[in-house]
Amino acid sequence: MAQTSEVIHSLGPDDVARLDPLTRIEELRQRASTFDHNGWYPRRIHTDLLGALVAATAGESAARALLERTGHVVAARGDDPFLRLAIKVMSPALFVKSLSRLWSVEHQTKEAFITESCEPEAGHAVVRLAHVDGYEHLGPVVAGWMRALLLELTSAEVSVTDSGWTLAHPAPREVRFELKWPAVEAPSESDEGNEIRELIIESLLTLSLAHRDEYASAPVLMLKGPTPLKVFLAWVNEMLILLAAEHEQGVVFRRQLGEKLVTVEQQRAAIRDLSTPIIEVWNGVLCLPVVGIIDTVRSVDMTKALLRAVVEKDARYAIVDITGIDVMDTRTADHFVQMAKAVRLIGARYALAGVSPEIAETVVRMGVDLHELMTYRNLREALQAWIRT
Amino acid sequence: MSIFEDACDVREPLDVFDARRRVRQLCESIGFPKQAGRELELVASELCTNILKYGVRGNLRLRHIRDPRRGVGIEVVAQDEGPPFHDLSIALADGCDDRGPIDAAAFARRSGLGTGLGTIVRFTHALSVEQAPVGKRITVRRYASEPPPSPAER
Ligand SMILES: Nc1ncnc2c1ncn2[C@@H]1O[C@H](COP(=O)(O)OP(=O)(O)OP(=O)(O)O)[C@@H](O)[C@H]1O
Ligand SMILES: [Mg+2]
Repeated sequence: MAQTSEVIHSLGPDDVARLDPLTRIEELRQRASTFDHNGWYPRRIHTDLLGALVAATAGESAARALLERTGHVVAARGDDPFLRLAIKVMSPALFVKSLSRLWSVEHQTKEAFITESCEPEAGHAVVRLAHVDGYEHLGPVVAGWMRALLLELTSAEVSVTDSGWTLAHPAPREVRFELKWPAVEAPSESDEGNEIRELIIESLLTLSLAHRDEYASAPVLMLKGPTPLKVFLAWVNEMLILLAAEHEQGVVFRRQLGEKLVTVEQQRAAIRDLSTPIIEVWNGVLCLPVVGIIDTVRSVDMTKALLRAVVEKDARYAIVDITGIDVMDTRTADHFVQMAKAVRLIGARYALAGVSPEIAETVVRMGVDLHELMTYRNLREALQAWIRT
Repeated sequence: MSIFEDACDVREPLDVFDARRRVRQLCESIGFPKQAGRELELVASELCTNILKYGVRGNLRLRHIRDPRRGVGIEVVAQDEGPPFHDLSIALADGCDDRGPIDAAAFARRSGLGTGLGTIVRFTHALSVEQAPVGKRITVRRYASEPPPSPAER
């Protein structure tokens, strides 16, 4: 991992386009994981960087390859043994049937796959993910995710193609997927065999929920099938009841612990506000995400820290992301403009990202000239501008 | 202490965050408008850092108030044990300490921009100061239903 990041650091922005997509994604992941000041930020920086990379890749097919590899990584990273086992037990038809379940386990969202057609013998199925709002690049990422899982359970030639996504319209409200796997000559499995498989998958998925401490949503299994299976299912039910009771007790302890943690949490919030996280998102590109309430003391601290970092890291571009600001006085806003001038004086470019209409308005009303400043609507646009130069 | 008032000591830097949290909680418990609450949090922050910088130590008291004319609001009283303001009207101006404009060369050495009191003025509807030979009390009020004090116009 260290090697990957060193390699990346030694590259200029033009070289980056030639890198293997997977390396870049791992790099992004690593960068995102080294920064956990605010829960929301790493995820955002992650998607913003991914979006910026997609925009910077040459053409639609390269972008698609990058996104599909992301889906692969998501599927490969699963660390839930029950889920992995459930996939191994599945047949392609059962996989298609279980997609919604798998998706909700992995992503904890409520979108559901709708099966339009499924012909197991022909090795062909079409599914649809509807009403997806506000997700960019979902189609190719999910296609990559599906292909990796389908490959795991068939270990044969498979293909998953999505439609709806294009580079120009990265967030369609509906995405369709066509799944293909080798057609089978032999007659399909007996109904009984299929039922047993389904029962096993059901119990594994239930165990997978328990594995994540989600007893509430873990259903009680129906005792069906031949006797040995019934015994097994009864055992799973019993174990879940025991685990749920233990979990209940754990919850009580945790609540008590939680009360103590509130104090710690308050101190953490204070530390977050006191510290100025500066991330080097790229070689020579610094990002200072500003969150919360900016008082005079903090604004002075931030200027000092940013100037120091620009000199230390020999940065050529500094982006101050002010999307997360709750309140700032107009004079303090003026201070950000001064900060820009100071950064330029020491030879780096400076951009302000996430300028909200309110801040823009107050800054202009104060008579501060924003013209000579580079401002962007969000971090992603600021990054894209850099990658393009 | 009821849910309509709160108080805390201001002795060290972490107390600033405690004060801010109390402002936030009071605002939430009385349903104060969100943006006004955040602005008041910023005001509390400036009051506290000033206490620590110039007032030696002190405390902050918060109170839910109800004025027959101006409606509901929150009052913040910052009391400290430091010396009085040399000249309050000068100190209130941006870029000034309590004697006059801060010299450009001095900015690098001193720890502030001289805009904290200006911020307080811009985000509150009323401000008053009572001075004693030792210690002083700064009282500010913010009303929920009045138009927000406009930062740019003052
Ligand atoms: N509690 C106080 N006791 C005594 N003097 C004070 C107090 N608060 C402010 N002052 C005086 O008023 C001046 C202006 O205060 P203000 O908060 O506006 O600026 P600052 O604290 O110097 O810098 P900044 O708040 O921008 O970091 C201060 O320089 C100080 O001389
Ligand atoms: Mg101050």
